[in-house]
Parts: sequence; C-alpha cells; structure tokens
Amino acid sequence: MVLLVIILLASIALGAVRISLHDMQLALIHWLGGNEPGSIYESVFIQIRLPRVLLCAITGAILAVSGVLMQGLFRNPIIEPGLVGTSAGAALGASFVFVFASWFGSETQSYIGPFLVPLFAFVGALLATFIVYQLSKNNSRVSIASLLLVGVAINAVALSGTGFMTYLARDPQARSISFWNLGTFSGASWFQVAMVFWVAVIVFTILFRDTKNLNALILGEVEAGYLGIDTKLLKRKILIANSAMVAIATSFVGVIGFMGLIVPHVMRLLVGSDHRKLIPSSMIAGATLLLLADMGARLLLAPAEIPIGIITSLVGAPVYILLLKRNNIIDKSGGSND
Amino acid sequence: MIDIINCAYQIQDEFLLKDINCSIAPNELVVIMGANGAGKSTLLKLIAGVLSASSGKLFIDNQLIKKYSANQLALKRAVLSQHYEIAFPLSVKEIILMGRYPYFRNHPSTRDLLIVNEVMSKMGIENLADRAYQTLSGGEAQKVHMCRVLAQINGEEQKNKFLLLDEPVSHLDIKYQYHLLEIAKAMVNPNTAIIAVLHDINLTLKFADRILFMKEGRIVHEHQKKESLAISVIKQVFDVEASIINLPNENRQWVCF
Repeated sequence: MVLLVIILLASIALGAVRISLHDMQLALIHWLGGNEPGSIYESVFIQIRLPRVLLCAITGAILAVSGVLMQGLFRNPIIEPGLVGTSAGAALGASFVFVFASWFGSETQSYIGPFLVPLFAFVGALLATFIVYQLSKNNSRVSIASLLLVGVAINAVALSGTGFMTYLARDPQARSISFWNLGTFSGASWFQVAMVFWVAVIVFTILFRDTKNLNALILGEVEAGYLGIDTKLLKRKILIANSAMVAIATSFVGVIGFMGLIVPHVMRLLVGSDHRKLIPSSMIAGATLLLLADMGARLLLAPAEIPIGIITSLVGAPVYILLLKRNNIIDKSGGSND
Repeated sequence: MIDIINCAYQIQDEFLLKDINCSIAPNELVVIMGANGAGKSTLLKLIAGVLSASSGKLFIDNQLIKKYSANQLALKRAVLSQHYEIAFPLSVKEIILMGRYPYFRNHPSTRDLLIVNEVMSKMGIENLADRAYQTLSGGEAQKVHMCRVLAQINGEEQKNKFLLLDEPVSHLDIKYQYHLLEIAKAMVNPNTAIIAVLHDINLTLKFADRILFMKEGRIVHEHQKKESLAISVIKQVFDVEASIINLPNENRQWVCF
C-alpha cells in the first residue's frame, strides 16, 4: 500500500516534463479551488499526468482481479483474460465501433459515442469468453489443454477480425487501432478515469460479497453446490464482471497482456488463495505493477513512448513459460507435488 | 427423514438406478454396499441432490428435494466425495472452515471457528491446521475433508440432518478406518443420520445399523443389525463364495472369503 503511494507519486513526477512534489501540491490546491491551470507545469499535471496515472492504477487493479476471477472460474492458476479470448474479444468489439462509427449519424455519435466503444467491447469480451468456456467444458470439467487450444482458436478469430477492421479502416483509424492493439495510456482523459473508476467500484463491491463463494469454487462446482452455493449464478456473475472489467480497460487503453497472470500468481504465493485476502492484495499489486510498467514505457525511450502492452508481454511471457514448465513437471510426477 | 419413492435414474437407455424405494430416518447409520457399478454412488448423488431422478419422487422432511434452495440443502446435509482436485494453495484450516460457509455471510463467527477447532481435535489433525493442503498425503487429505463435512452438519440450528459419505476410508490405514467410522458413529443421534458407501463387509457389519445391498441399480436386500446375514446374500451381491463366522464376544458376524 505504501509502495503503491510512492510509485503513484513517482510516476506523476517523472516524464518528459518533470513535476516536483511541491508543484503537485500547489497545482492541486489551485485546481481544486476551481481555477483553470495556470502554468505549463500545472496543465501537464492536471490534464495529462494525473488522469494517466490514475487510469493506469485502476486498470492495473482491474486486470489483476479479472485474472483472479478467470483462474477461479476455470480452476487453474495459469489462466488469464488474454488467454481465454476475453481481451481479444473486447478488442474486436471496440475496433468494430472505431471503423463503423461513421455509420451512426454525427449527432448520435457525439451523444453515445464515448459509451459505444466500451459497450461493444463488453459484448465482444463476453461472447469470446463464453464460447471458450462452453467449448472447453467436458462433463462439467474444464481440461486445461482443451481450454488453451480453444483459447488459441478464438483468439485467432478475434485477432483476424480486428485485422480485417484495420484493413477496412481509413488510414488514421487504422493507425489508432494498431497502436491501441498494443496498449497505451497516452490518451488518458478524466472522462476515461471516471468510467473506469465507476466500473471498478461497482464490480469490486459485488465481488467482495462473493469471496466466500469463490473460495468454495476451488473445491469444484459440485462441491461448491454441496456447500450451498448457487454455482450457476456465481459463474454468470464471474463471466459478466470479468467481461465488464476487461472491456472497459481494453476499450480505453488497448490490450495489456499477462497482468492478470503474474499478479495473482505472485499474490497466491504471498497471501494464499483465500479470496478475502487475494482480491484486495491483487488490486494493490496490480495497480503498482502497471504503474511501474507505464513508467518504463514513458521513460525507457523518452521522449518517444513504447506501447505498454509490449513491456508487459516482454516481461510476462517468460514468466508464463516458467509457470507452464513448472506445472508440467508437477503433472508428470503424478499430479502431486509432495 | 428421507423418503425415496419409486426412483429411477437413466442415461439414455441405460438404467443406473431402478425401482428404488427406501426411507432413512435420523439416529441410524446406513451403509450402501454392492459390487462395482451397482449404483451406490449414483444413489448417494441422488440423495445429495446433485442428480435428479428420471422418474419417481424424493422427499426430505416431506418436501420434494427439488424445492430446496442450494443453501437450505447445505444446512441439511453434507457430502464427502471420493476425489478432490485442488489447484490452488489453501491451508487445511481454510478448507475445513468451508464447512461453515452455509452458516455465515462474510465473516465466520467465533462459534464457527470453535467448531473448526473442535472437529480437528476430534479427528486428531490439529497439527495440520496451518499446513498447505497440497503437501498432504491421500489419507491426511481424506481426514481434512471429513473434518469439513463434520463441521458442516455440526450444530442444532437445523433438525434432521444427513451426512453422506462416499467411500470415506478408501485412503486410510486400518487404525484410522476404525477411528473415522467411530467418529462417524458418534455423530449419529436423534437429529442426525449417516449414509455411507463402504467396500469392506466386515467393517460394515461392525458399524452399520442397516445395510442396503445393491445390484444392477436395484436394492436387492436390506439387512438390519440384529438379523443374521445369509451366505446367499453375499453370493448374490458380490458373486463370491464366502463363509460366515459368529463372533460371540462382539455379538456380530464375520465374513471370510
């Protein structure tokens, strides 16, 4: 928690324009007093840095928690939204709106436009996840092999769909689709911060009532049923909550891979799998880690910016391979690791 | 009180259960026996409410089992299954606490935590409380899950509770087979019945108040504790020749194969 605050402040301070703690304080007081930002420092801080950092922190928390949820639903610790089609589905839904937005009259566009992208992303995410879940389920058991394979297939379909959208798109749109396919926080605005914030608040509030039920799901669906849990309802909740979170994050900042995998995994090692501890700690760790990654994205090649999705994938993929290997070794020794 | 009336269970044309009629009341330990594929586990799942009968009716306390919500059922019965697969690190204590989940919303009461400790000491596994479940042996894991279901049917909040055990001693050595069944037997009271699937006929004869012998999806013979078991029943149900010895000191029979 303390670490999160430090990194939050650091990532506000560092960038193409440096902002001191003192400047932040002055600018904040000035701004909260209802004044328009005065100096260039103030406008960088209020209009660019602050929304970006907040969006990044909330997105990190969202992605980490959606990883926890997906792992709970599929009862497997090496699953994350990017692997089961959620992110790719959301990206396809969002890019669909990007390209076909002109079909809606300009009036409707300005009215519902900002909500249209998240909405379509949500539909895409929900559909993709649901299809993967249904196809990989066999006698109410999800086998990890079929899950990953179906995930690959659905991801491929969604990606080529997004690719087709890029092909259809005129040049400026195409550029933004491809850039945003790799993930970026560069376009952060206060509107986005507000949207992400409210989705996170609503979903987390609902989830905190279900931590007990998520724990029971670790034993399996039938066993959770024996413990009095309406597993159908719970699964539906998980799918919808997860799709909503991934969709809102993806539609504003693009696809950011592996956050949902690494953060919960580390937190399971540190605090265990009791969701009452796992969810809050993953939120904090997710926010911290994504802020760090975003700082890397801004500072490594400054003044140019690396898409953040590239950074998280570069770090995440090797960790994922490590996890896969470790799990394989466990499987080979007969499913027990004692 | 459980009343099963004319229940059958079929998958496509295959009858896994047929013409099942029986009643089970609190204060008894009922054991279901039979060869592999006789329908023992299927019958247990029917009573547990996880399968629903293709035809016939199943009542719990004169109310159709379908009419119970998941949580209402969880307060009435606990189920110990044969296999568990747990992919995440969890402590033994957390798993046993799950048995109390039907009783609290977000935070366990002190009574819930007390019950968890109580069942652990009853089973003699207090020393495992903080161990990671993944590091347990098969027998230890079985004891942990037994503690969980004992915690679930503990307490007087509900009347007429049932504990369903599907091969509860399969991974235990002889000492703990007796230990576990003695604990189970001690749970039997005017408020609680136990229904177990067991494979060992002599263990069954020692602990059961009533035995339901199953074959090809039907209950072919019902044995009461005081009755004398006939060799022909063993032959019919298990298709093996056996002889039966009376143990006069213990007032029970012993089956030799």
